[in-house]
Amino acid sequence: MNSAETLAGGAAFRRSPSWRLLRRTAGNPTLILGTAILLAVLAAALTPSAVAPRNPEARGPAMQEIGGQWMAPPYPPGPIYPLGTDPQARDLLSRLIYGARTTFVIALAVALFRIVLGVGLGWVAAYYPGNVRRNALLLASVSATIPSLLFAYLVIVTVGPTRGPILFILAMGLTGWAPWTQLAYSGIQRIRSEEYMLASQAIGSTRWSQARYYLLPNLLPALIPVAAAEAAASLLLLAELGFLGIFLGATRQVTMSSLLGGEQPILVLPEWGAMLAGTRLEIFNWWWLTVMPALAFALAIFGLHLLGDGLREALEIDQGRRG
Amino acid sequence: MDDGSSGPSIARARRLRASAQAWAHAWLPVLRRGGQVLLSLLTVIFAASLCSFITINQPILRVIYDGVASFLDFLIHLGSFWSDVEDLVISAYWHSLLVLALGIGVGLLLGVPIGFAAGIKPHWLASKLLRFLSYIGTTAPSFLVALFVMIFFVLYVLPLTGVRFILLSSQSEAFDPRRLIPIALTLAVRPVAYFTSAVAAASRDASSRDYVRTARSKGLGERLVVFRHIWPNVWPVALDGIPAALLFSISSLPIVEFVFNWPGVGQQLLFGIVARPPPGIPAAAYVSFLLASIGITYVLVGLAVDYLRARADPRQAARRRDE
Repeated sequence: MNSAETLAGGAAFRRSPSWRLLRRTAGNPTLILGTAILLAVLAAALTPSAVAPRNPEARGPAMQEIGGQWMAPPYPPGPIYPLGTDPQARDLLSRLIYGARTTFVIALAVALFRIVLGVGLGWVAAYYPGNVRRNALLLASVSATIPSLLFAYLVIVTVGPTRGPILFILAMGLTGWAPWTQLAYSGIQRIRSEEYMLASQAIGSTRWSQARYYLLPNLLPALIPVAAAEAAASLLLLAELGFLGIFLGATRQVTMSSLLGGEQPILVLPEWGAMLAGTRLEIFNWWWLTVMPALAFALAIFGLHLLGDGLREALEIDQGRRG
Repeated sequence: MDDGSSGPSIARARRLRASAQAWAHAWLPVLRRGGQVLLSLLTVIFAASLCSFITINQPILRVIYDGVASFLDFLIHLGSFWSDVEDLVISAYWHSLLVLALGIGVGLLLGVPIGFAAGIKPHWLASKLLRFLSYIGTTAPSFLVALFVMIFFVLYVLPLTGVRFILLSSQSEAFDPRRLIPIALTLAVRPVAYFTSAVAAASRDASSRDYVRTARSKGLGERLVVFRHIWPNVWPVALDGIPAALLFSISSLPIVEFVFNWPGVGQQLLFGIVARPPPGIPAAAYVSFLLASIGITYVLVGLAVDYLRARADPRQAARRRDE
């Protein structure tokens, strides 16, 4: 290959979209760090058996020599159990890895529920002026004043945490969607006033084709970064509920004793929120029972926020270049 | 063939028809009215049967029916419950108001100067580090921060000073202002982070404005540039951030009060939902008044900030004068 061909090939390579994407990503450490954290968590969630060192339900020995002395479970973090064990001598690392799937599915389902509800109402407000718009925006304003944690707590405790994931998704998703309504409403209003939308109306495009070809492609760049932050907010809510003794897979109602940490639940389903339940006072005896699941939550939330901010930065740069 | 008898028979037929018409004319409205009455009676019986069936034979519908009736009754009598819960609600409210005010106060005292310094010197390593720390502070789960603060005070401060800043289980001890410190510190983490990042962004923006460049190029001293030209454009951002910071603190309130066993609105809400208040006090009224107290505080703070902004911000004051 002569030098001219090399130059031409190099130029083509430099011009290719994948190369541009790679360069843009390399200059965005927030996006890289966020993606790396999220990929690690997703790998654990999708292929737990390949990543986890042990069976999450396998119980360790009733007594074990650690640091020269014989101990009963829960065992502290060390070479045998990197993150320690729970009171039933089950490996915390394996339970965290196996629990990632359930935790993330619930958090993503809640985020999706909020997004669909909020964007749907925003779309209705944007397309139907008058009373419908007024009422839709009023509903969003009222919903914004309801604290999500207290609402979810009240609903789940009243109905019963044993009812399963649908109750969790509804209780957590029925509040917290108001920012999406405002975002979608203002975004759609802005896009509808653009000239290309007026042109599409002039040539007789249907509402569906306008939404498909003009609204969604212009709205998504604003929504995607916020969606990552929404998933983080759902994860945080799940963690707080778990800390208060409300978790998926609970086999009985919440009591004052379980709320105050007086009793440790026997956890059947490995889930991060459940691992936090009843551990408030355990932090002084067996700190790893509280800190390890809490750190897993914090890391995932941090990764999602980084991913959202990195995406926002990347999309802003992209739009700036197009502009 | 006409046999002569056809004349009278035709006349009789006509008479018969006339009398039938007269009878119909007289009685048809009565029959119609009777039919309507019968139909109404059947409808009432059907509706009564349906209502009875769905309220007595179908438990879920009966629950909804009873629930709506009880709710309307509760709404009508809500005011009369106030005297039963007055002392408890006011005590919880003052406990929460103290820690919220301290949290926001610490947030303003620390976050605004740190953010201002980081914003006017954005290229300093310390500024970048502070921005990163504020990012972590905004995304960190409250319960994790509360647990770390609790460990710090119980394991390190207590042995050094001999002062019990945290009561872990007792709920009956008298008010001790020293207990405010760890709670206020925990609640201040997110406001500090929020004020730091918001004020830093506003300072960076103000520093890059033309009037600041002009002031510097005219040879004005750095102190004058900072306090005469940058600061007046930054402090309204801090003032505007108070309601948002308060919302952060309110959303963390139940978890933080629960962790530190502080008898404020957040903790009382959780206990009121799970364990019910003392006998003789309606749980729903207790929870309603607690929720309303926090909601009213948020609205009042928002109004106060709007009022202060309108009075103190020269641009808004000038706009008001023009109007």
